[in-house]
Amino acid sequence: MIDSFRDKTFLYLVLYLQAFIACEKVVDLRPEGGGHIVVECILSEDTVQTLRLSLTDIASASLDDAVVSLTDETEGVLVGHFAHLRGNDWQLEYAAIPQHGYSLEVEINGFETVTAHTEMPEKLGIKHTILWRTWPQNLQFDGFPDWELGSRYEIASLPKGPVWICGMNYDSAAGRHVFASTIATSLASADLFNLTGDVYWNAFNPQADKFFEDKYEDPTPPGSLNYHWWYHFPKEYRTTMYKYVVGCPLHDTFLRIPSLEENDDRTAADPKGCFSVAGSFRGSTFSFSDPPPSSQEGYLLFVSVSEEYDRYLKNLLMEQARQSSMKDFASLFSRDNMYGNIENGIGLFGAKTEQELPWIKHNAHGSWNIDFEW
Amino acid sequence: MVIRYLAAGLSLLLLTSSALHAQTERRDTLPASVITGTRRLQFDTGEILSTQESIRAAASPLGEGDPIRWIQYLPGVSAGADGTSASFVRGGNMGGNLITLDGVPVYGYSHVLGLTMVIPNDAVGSVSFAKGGFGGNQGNFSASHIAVSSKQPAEDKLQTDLLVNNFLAGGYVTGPLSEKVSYTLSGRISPLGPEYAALKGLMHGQLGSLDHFMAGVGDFYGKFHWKIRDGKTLTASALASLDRYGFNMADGSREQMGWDNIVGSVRYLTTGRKGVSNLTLSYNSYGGTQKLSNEFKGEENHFSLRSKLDEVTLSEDFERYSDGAAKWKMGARLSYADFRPGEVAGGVNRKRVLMASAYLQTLRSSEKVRLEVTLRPTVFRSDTTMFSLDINLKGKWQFLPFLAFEATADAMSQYYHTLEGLPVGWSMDLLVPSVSGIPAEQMAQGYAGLESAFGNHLLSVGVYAKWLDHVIYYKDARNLFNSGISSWQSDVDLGKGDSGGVELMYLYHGRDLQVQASATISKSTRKDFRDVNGGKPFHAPFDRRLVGSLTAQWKGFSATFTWQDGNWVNGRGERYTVLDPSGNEVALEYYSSVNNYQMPALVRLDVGYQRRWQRGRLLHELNVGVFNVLNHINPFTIYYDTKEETWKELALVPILPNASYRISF
Repeated sequence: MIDSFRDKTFLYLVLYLQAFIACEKVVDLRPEGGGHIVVECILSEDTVQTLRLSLTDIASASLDDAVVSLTDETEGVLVGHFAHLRGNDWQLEYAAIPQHGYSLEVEINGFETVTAHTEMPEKLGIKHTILWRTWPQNLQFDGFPDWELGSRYEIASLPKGPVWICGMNYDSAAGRHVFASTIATSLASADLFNLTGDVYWNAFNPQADKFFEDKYEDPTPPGSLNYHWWYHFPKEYRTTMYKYVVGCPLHDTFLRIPSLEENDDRTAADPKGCFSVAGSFRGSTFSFSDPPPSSQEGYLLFVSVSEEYDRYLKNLLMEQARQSSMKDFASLFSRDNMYGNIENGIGLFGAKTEQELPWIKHNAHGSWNIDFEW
Repeated sequence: MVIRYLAAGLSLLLLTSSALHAQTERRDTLPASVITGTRRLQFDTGEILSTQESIRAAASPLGEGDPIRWIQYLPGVSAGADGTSASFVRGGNMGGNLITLDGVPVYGYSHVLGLTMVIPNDAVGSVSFAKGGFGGNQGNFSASHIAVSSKQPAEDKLQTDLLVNNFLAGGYVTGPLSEKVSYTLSGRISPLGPEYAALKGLMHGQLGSLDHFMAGVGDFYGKFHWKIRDGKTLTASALASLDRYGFNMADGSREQMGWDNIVGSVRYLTTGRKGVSNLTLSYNSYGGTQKLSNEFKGEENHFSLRSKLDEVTLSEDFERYSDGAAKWKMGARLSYADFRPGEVAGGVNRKRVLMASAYLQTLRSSEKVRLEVTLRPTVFRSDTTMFSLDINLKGKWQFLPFLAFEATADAMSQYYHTLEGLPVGWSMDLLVPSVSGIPAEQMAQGYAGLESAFGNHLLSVGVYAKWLDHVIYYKDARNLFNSGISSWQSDVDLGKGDSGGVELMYLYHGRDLQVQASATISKSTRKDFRDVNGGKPFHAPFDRRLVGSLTAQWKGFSATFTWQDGNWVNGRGERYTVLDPSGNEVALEYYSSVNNYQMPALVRLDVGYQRRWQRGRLLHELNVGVFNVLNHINPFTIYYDTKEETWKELALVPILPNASYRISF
């Protein structure tokens, strides 16, 4: 029994000392090893190829003296050496050729030579078919063809590989085109990896409704000579934008159309071999006045990508989505690496070809003067 | 976070403990058939036999040493985190060690996160530690066999021991019930819970937000021995242990963890003209529970894991008397086990298995040569039938009076797996059986060395090599905490492992001075996992390149110095950035390897003093000491602090005064 004050004090001191016995400190968990070179390069048909060269945080080397060379494996010739621009950016004046194979080689002192291979995909052959509008009174006739406002695309030919689609809106503040935030399609074969959880509704394109709402307020009384009865059709019979896309799931920025190997049915599901694309795109108004300059028109970008770039891009977008909403404690223990095709390094060497098509072009074909085959 | 507070709570409540002790008097407490010399350790090829005194002498942070703590100072053994009972023998996995009590496996053998063992020291008669050349009566393991033999109950008079140290208080009584029946009873409890309650008010602030700390720790052991008649005895024994911990945090999060064992056996021993027969029926039940609730980035997370293993075994062992040149042992075992690993929200992945094995062991010895061979065929039935043949060889050639060559070779199969590939800092003893597509883990190893005994000195040096196949790795640790555990078979990958090293041991046993030194230089890797690390080799978790210890005891004073290179854990990845299609930088990490971060080395000096004295009928024993005199911060684990969103390293036992007191009468 501890009776005296001195004994109790001694006990408390011992216990107090032991209160701090368990020690903790923040730790970096720095991995072993000398680090890796990071290479990012996507070849295209542009006249200048760009490449980004960097290091992981535990690596130490001078990148300014790196030797970066590109070889056309199909022709068997050295295309040239990338020149250091500034920072991590390098460039080479060259336009890659579709369906040619290329190899990249990076030599940096203190590291093994980094190599990678890719193949330029074939060009796309997507035909923009119609933008047309008609008068709603024509709806009363049976057999009259369906119509819609907007763009429909006829697939003349698709590469065997995957295709990515995105919308580009002109941002006047930035002075350039930027990605539209959402996109949807009537193509049933679209990859569902990046759904937003919402569906496309023509409310995204209120311009059509607004056009008719304005006319609906026509004060001309019924029975008068100038009464435009067709403006007073119920809303459900009014012009619908992209009726085949209405109700389809919205995707975050990109549509990914899988390769033929991944999905045999990818060109189906839309009547007569066509498919529609819609989204949070800003096009010119349906007004006949004050059309924007063509350089500021929104457009759709169709991108045919190499297999490596396809896999990498999907992986990267999924990782971005995971990081932005990371609340899963268990995901802290995930140790998945980003896909890459760089040997002795990290990153991606891929390739793409692109095709721009208008989304909604002002004053395109009118009425039912069609120039496509049903 | 929760581990920090648990550690703080434990360390707070440590009052005293014994570190090391040296005998000031010698007492022969073992049967004469075990001790053949004055040394406490007895060596056989691939095997070391120790007494209870040596076991208790092993340095321990909380009390007396135990069998697990004892083997951690022997060559070929790499300890787990500082202060814990985790042991990795010759590059094997922790689950490759078999711990038995009188031949019955004890699966949940640790108390208090591994700081001590569930088997009370008072009940321990002797411990044998085998790293190679395994005997025939046990199989189903791939690394080592730690065989604990209990003491026979006292037949002449009643003997009582009472013990109190910084963590446990207990009593032990043994004696005769009648002329033919004797018994042993032992019980220990931990006063952690009441101590915490008493100190909570005083230590408020220092304990952080730890609230409603609950600890229920205890064990009970009983043994009855009946001499039916000459040459026939019946022994019944039971061991029960319980570990339960729980605490609430100020933010409302809560953690609960616990495990329990029930081990019982009935043994009928007959000694006849031709040999000794041992018929044993045993029951073994092991259960574990872990629950965690926390808040991370505004989201509540709840994890729950519960597992159970029940096993019934019938075995018969027959040892034929030596005819002068040869000795024979043979036997058979039949086990039925019921696995329920990782029950989550009622989902159960139950597996019932049947295992039958037989063995034949022969020992031939002459003046200079000793050779032992064991064959052990096994049939295992779960959702498929598997068959294996274990082969064990060991030999010793005393080619000079003071120098012998010894070698062992083993090929073993292990049908019970322990899931690894766990989140950092999260300990879990999840036992699962072999099933179709996940065969038994297989081990092949060899050892060759020299042993020299001269005067009071013994020196042993040798090399070993080990190969493992069908090593299990749990690929996606996240699934441990959701219903994915119910289909664990689809989340494991199979691979290989290898290990090689040099083992050195030196012993000196003088009149007053005893010295024990051991060192191991080794390398252990894992590889060829299809979905882990791209099939490339990576460090085994406790791949400590150099492990060494030096112990000296002199007239009651003792000191042990330990050095162990850091173990390997999953560190962070190499950080880099790439551009997304919009030109924005995306921060990524590249994981070049599993177990890519080496923890700091474990360095520790422990000192102690033991004094015994007798007053009347009472024999008193007091041990005082200091664990980790150098106050070196030896990491216990790393964990993720959800509040500060950063990884932290936790050291459990810096400098720690300890003492224990025992009275016997």
